[in-house]
Amino acid sequence: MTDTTATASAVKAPAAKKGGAGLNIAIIVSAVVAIIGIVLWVMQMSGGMIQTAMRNIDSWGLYITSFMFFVGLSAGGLIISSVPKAFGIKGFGGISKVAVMTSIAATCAAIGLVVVDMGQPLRVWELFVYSNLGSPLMWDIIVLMVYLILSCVYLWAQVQAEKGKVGHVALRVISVIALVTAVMVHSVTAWIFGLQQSHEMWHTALLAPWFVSSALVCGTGLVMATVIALRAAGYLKLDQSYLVKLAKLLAVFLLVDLYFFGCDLLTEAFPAGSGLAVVDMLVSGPLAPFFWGEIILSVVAVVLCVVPQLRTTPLLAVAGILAIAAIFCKRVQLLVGGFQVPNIDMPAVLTPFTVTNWEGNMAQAYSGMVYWPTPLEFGVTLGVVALGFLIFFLGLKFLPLKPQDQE
Amino acid sequence: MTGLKDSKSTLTRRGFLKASGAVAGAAALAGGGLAAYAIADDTAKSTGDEYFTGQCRGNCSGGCKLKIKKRDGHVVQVEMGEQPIPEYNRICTKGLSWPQRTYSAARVQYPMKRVEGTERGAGEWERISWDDAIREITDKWKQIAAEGSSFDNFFCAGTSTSTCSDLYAYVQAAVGASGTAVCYDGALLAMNFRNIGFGQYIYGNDPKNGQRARTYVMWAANSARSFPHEFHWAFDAQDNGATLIAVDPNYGISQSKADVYIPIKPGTDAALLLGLINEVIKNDWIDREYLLSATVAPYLVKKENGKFMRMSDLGVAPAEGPIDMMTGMPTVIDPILVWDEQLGKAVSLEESVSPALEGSYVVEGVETDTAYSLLVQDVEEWPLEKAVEVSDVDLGQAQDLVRRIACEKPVTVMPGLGCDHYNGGHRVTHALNTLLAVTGNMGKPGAGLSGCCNQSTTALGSPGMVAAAAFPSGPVVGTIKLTTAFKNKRIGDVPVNIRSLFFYGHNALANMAGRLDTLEMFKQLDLIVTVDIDFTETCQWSDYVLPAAGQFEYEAVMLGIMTPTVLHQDKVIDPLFDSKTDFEIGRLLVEAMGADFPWASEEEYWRARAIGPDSEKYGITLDTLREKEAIVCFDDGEYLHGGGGVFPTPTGKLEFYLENVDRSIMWEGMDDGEEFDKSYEHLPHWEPPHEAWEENPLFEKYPLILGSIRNRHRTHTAFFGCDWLLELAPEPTLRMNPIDAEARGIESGDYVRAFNDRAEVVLRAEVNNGIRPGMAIYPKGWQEFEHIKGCPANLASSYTSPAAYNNYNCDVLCEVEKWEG
Amino acid sequence: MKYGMVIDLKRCFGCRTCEIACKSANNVPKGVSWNRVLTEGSGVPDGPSGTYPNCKVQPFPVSCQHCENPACVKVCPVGATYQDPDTGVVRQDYDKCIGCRMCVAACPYTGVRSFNWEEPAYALDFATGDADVPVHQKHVVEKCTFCYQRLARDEKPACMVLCPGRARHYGDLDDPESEVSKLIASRPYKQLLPEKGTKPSVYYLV
Repeated sequence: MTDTTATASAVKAPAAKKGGAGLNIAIIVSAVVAIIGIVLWVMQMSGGMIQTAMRNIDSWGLYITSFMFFVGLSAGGLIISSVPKAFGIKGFGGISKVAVMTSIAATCAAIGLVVVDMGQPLRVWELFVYSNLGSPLMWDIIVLMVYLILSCVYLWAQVQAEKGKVGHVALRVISVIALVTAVMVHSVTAWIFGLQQSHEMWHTALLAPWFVSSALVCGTGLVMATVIALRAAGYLKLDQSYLVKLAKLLAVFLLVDLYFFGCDLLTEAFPAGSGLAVVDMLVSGPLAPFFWGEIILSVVAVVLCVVPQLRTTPLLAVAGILAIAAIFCKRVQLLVGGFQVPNIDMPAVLTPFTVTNWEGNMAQAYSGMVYWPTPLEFGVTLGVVALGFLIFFLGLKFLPLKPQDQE
Repeated sequence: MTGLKDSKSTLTRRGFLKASGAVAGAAALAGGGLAAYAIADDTAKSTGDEYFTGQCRGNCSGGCKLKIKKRDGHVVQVEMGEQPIPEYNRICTKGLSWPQRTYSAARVQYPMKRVEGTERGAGEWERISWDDAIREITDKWKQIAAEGSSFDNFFCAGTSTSTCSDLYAYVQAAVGASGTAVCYDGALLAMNFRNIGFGQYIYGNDPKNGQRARTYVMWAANSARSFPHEFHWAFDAQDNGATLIAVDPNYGISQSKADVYIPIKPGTDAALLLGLINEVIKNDWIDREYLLSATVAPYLVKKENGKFMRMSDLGVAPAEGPIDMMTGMPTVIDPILVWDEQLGKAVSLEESVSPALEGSYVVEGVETDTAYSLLVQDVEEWPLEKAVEVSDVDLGQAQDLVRRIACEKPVTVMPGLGCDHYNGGHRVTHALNTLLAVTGNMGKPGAGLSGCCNQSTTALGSPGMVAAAAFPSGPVVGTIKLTTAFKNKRIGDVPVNIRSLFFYGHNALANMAGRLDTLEMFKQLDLIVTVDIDFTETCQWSDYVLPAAGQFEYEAVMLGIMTPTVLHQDKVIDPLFDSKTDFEIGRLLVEAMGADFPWASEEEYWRARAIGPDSEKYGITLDTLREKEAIVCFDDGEYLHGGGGVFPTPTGKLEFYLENVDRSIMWEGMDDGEEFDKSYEHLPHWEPPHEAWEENPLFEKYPLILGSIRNRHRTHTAFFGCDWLLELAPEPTLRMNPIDAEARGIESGDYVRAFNDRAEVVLRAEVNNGIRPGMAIYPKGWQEFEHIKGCPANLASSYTSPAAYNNYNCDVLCEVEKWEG
Repeated sequence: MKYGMVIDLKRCFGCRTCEIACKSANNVPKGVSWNRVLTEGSGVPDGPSGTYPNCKVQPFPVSCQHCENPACVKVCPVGATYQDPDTGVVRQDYDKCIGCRMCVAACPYTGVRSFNWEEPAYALDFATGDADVPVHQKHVVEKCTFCYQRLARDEKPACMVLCPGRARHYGDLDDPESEVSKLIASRPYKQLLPEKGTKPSVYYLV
């Protein structure tokens, strides 16, 4: 089977100039959106989080969904980067630094999303003074901090290694640490949900491995889409074979993720007991669009990645994006799904604070999705995402992220 | 003063909701929270709060003693006040909400006058001074009096100022005004007054007696909702082995606590009761001894006129007895005759040895029957099989019910007002009392009706009413007859000319049946004045609204209501805003009319009020009340209505047979001269409701009976401005059975309109499994301006059965459909 | 010492006195209720289950269960939710709360915890209730405190002062002679979500 290859042989200087202008625009646009996001966030905090759609019995929403999502995205970069180095095998054509940059950007976005979700962000210092080390949320904060710092160190180390200032062994050690940390970040994020017996849908041992696999999916997808975009923009050169390698890896990760998906679904459904409420909600209930969305998107992405004839660059970019979207669907299922099945559904008089759709009765509040974000939440989220993009673009502009041989 | 918005001009439809929902600023507590990991230290204990005592005058028959907390000059909390006898401890959501009611945006803040030239009810108000208000009102009264008579001015009281009703009785008399009879709950109350008289708990035993019942029946009573302060007695009875039985068309929380629920077709309770009496007689379950000794059963009734045969009929002149407190005249002693079986002749009951329970006897040429015989004949046409058919009750359930009432004694009955609100309702009370009479279930421990508010005239004085007696009294028109009397300019043979209405303690518009007719009358009146604490629907339609001080704003003494106590109310805060106490208002009005006001100060009045005939016996004075907060009087939980077989009735007996079937002016107002068969009123009968009956041709168009239940968080409309309560009950609703709802495509949460030929109302539907198919039930107490459109009171008719003048608010048919907005 | 509550479902008739007593004593803001009275078996509050005339209405008061093994305490990253060692009461430190709502997600008892989604609002411009109630704050979580401020003064929690049905009891579950211990020992009861392993301290007599 021959790969359909497309060689990108951009001339360096003009490409750099073209990339420069485009990059500046990208920086400005993302900065503007980020500033709008910050303004909206300030509005949210002063006018009250009542302006979001989150309420007492559906107390998390788009922010934490996106938080999970961005933590997942940040995995790919680091894992793509560190696995080859840790195992001393050939990597993916020197895109490692770009990959780590996506990871740093995604991590910053993730942290930003936690901050905009907090009721009292000015008290964030308490996390470090009054830390309850038994709390999975605390673990996540710690691990995310470590991860961010480590990612930066790892990036710096790679740059230094290319200049010969950091030894290969040291780099390998850092890669191993980075790899382990990446796995921990996603496990710990999973444990925020997975250790809670409060929601049947969340409380499974599978959640941590599953988060890791989902992270691998969307992280790989992100790296794939990013490098395709950067290659098309002339920022770097990448042999198609590396793309194909990434695609095959993506397919494997997708299949593992789908496997976990299936295991969980079967485990919920088989006893035909309390888990059925969860299954019904996913398969045919309010979360069905996201459930079937994930499956379809994943399957299509797998097909695009394994069928050689379909492995064209555009389609591989699509595959990457589909994989990312599929994982976003997963996050929505988990977060909203957790609140969609109440443990106590006995009715009381509803107030505006009880549940998002409070003006009817309980049945009506749960008849569609119990939660759907307000435009404000979309705006703030977009702002934080833009912040992540901004960091990435700034990194592209000011840091030596290109493959070593292309600098 | 508190930062409340003056929103009177916006108190139009739903406007008040916005007003009362207004954020009046964030709470600001000096000091912060407690230390994180330690129990609060001693400084938290001395909180600088002052405590006062008082009573909730919620008009709900609770009369709960209150513990009132004041801080920084505000009433910040109201909690249960410990009763002298803890078993009577009581409180509810309404009592707890007094801080919000006291400072509510719904309060009338200053004397208000309808702007000249604007329509009544248009909501255009201006503030005037007290001096101007009093002068203008009394000038108008004087003008009306000069043009006709002072009796053309009418005082129309409700029940929510029971504490001050004695005072206003004097005001009404001193200004020469006519009065009205409330006609609320009149079918039940007036009939009970006739059958068994009024005692310390109006018609019943001390409610605590219910604990001793072996069978406890809630008849058309939704006590868990309407009497939360009393319902625990039923639980106590159950704990003691009693069977709790609920008879009601609808199933709700009260019925769910019962051991037996008996569904019944609305408006047929009297039929069922007659069947039960028939069954008791048939099975010879009667309590002969009780019938003979405690009821009018053996009394001989003259066939010719339905009256008792007395010694005077034999030529023995009546004697004079002690002075009757109520009339101020000597009582007449003219013993009633019974037939003595041993002596073989008619003698007075006191002289008889073995009075006959049954039989027809000719006494000196006069044909008589014993009252009991007449009863037996009366119920002959009601075999139980027929009764259950009419009332749609299961025969087995009915048989079980009557067996328990007759054989598993003692039986306590909590009578509710469900039946009172249909034409014919008075017959239910009559039949129920008769059933209890034949089974010997009154006046004994655990047996009788579970009583209602205190009505004692012995524990407290009535200085107002005593002073009022010096003035001539004018006509008394029942509220249900106001519109008729207004139109016809007479009530019966008595000419009346209703030119002005003065409302106090009365949200008339929201409570009187036939609201549309009342509004028509309002439009034509010369003057409407309302005194109230809160700006109600009736205030909206007035010319002048006078702000009454709230219940914590002046000292008072009052009866403990369903508890054997007299309570003291501390003055906790000064009258808020520009309100005045009822005493002040009364004094200003009386003096402006040129009459004397006998009490120089509020304290003098309350001091006089505290002295009743039994005050010395219980050590009750204003000073002792101030000291003790509450003093036990009455019989400490042992009061039995008709105890020892002696009833506070004209005969001293349980009068299941009513000799006197004339109109009761006290309850119904004056007679309007309708032609009807008064002889039908001597004994219990059944008549179908006037409108809410399937044989009514209207039924085809309007097949649902529109009835009401109590709103847990209001007493009628009172407490309407309390935020906490509005959170629990945010809007007017209509409950329907799933069958009826589905047939009309209605789901819970839909807005629907209930309508008939008179009016429509938009309510939020609630599909409720406990509603009897064929009925649509609304929690009452919502005022017109709280509805999206219309109000249920508009759908009710102002028709009253001539046999018993009353507001028959549930005798209404309607249809319901989804409202498209 | 472990404070707990016993609520007699046979006697509770849903009057909401306990709900309002709590609101009043703790100056609970508008739209917030720490002690909601729910209705079991029905889709509407106070609605009967079943088919007329064979129905049942079961009111069901639910507030923080003050669990012995509280899920919320474990997950609060700053220890703003904590279990008082002396009384077993699960308390909330508003000043520490960062508003992350992890506790709300971790608590299995839907709705007992309330987050102040906007500046707490009140109908009156002064605080009602006890003087020593912590001031409510915007954007933090709050819930039933077992009226800790009253326990500290040897007074009854507000919801326990008087239940008209005499359905509410509280006391030391560790003391076999306490009223609550005796009630649990002598009458059948159920608990909410016992399978979640949080060991709630609220017992419902059935």
